[in-house]
Amino acid sequence: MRLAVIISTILLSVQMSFAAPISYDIDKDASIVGFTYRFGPETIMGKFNDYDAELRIDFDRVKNSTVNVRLDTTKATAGFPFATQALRSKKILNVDNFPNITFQSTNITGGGNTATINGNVTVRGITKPLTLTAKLFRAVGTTADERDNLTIKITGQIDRTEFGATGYAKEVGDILRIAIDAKIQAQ
Amino acid sequence: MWRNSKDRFGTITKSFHWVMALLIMAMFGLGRYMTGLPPSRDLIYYYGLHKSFGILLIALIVMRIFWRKSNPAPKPLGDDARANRLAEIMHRILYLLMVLVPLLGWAGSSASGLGASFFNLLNMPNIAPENETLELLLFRIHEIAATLLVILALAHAGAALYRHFIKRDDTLRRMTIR
Repeated sequence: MRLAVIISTILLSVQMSFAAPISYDIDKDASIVGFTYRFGPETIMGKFNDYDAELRIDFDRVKNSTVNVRLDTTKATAGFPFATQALRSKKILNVDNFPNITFQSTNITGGGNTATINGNVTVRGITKPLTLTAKLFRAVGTTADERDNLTIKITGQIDRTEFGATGYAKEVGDILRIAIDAKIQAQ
Repeated sequence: MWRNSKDRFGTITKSFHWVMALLIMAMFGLGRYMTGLPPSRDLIYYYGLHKSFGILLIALIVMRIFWRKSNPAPKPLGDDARANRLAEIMHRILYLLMVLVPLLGWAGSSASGLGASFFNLLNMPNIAPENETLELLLFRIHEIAATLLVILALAHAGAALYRHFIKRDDTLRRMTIR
């Protein structure tokens, strides 16, 4: 009886330690917070070069995971000269008045290595719901229970006209595809 | 030889004249061509080129005005005082437009929020506030002034040819590089 209590206590504590959400840091040197957009016939990639993110993943209860991101719009680039100035100008991100884009998750669902992240994004002071898809990858050579060093790929799309970022409508497509590829390490 | 004499243009003045004439005509052609193009990376390249040469033209016209002030042009040929007076007015308008046209382009680029750079080596400061209405207005005046500049430059060339072939004076010959 006594032994059974001890064993069950150990098991419970092991389970508890797995059940806690893990907070991750992003290795910014190995990560890209990017987006692609149509410019006439071409697809061009832009980047957010400065950002903060809080990422907590609960592998057992995905619902308990959270993602909060702040992108610095003043450091955003759009792939080539003039496009970057256009991106930052009043007609698109208006970075003088809105130096940040923020995202807060409200509900994360999924399992295995794929999750759907529902949340709210704020661009140019306008907040709208946004749904993203996240996939987790482990490096080749690691075991299936690897959780310390992972890669997260987040995709989704956003219609810039919903946020009043309507400049250069003739040249630049309305839909932007989000392409985040981040190396993450457990804290 | 380098400087103007009492009756001849020097090499510096001739160089300013012909280099700027060539650049202005090429810029007018490029401006008309690029504003009609569909969006692509090439379009951005052409805009960058147009802005860079525009900045070069501002530098050239400033240097040219200083050069002309310190080194007056020879007296006009012929004794038709009215024709010479007309030519002088024409030259003044051409100089004014050579200053205004690139400045308007620079101001329009500033108002667009895109700015202008000199061959991506030097970013020019903005000389107008970022405002779309102002941008459209400045570029409209830029286009009208540029068109006027080209028309007047062609009229100026026509007058030189008239003097050369009809009046048979040396006006054109003293500006050519031999």
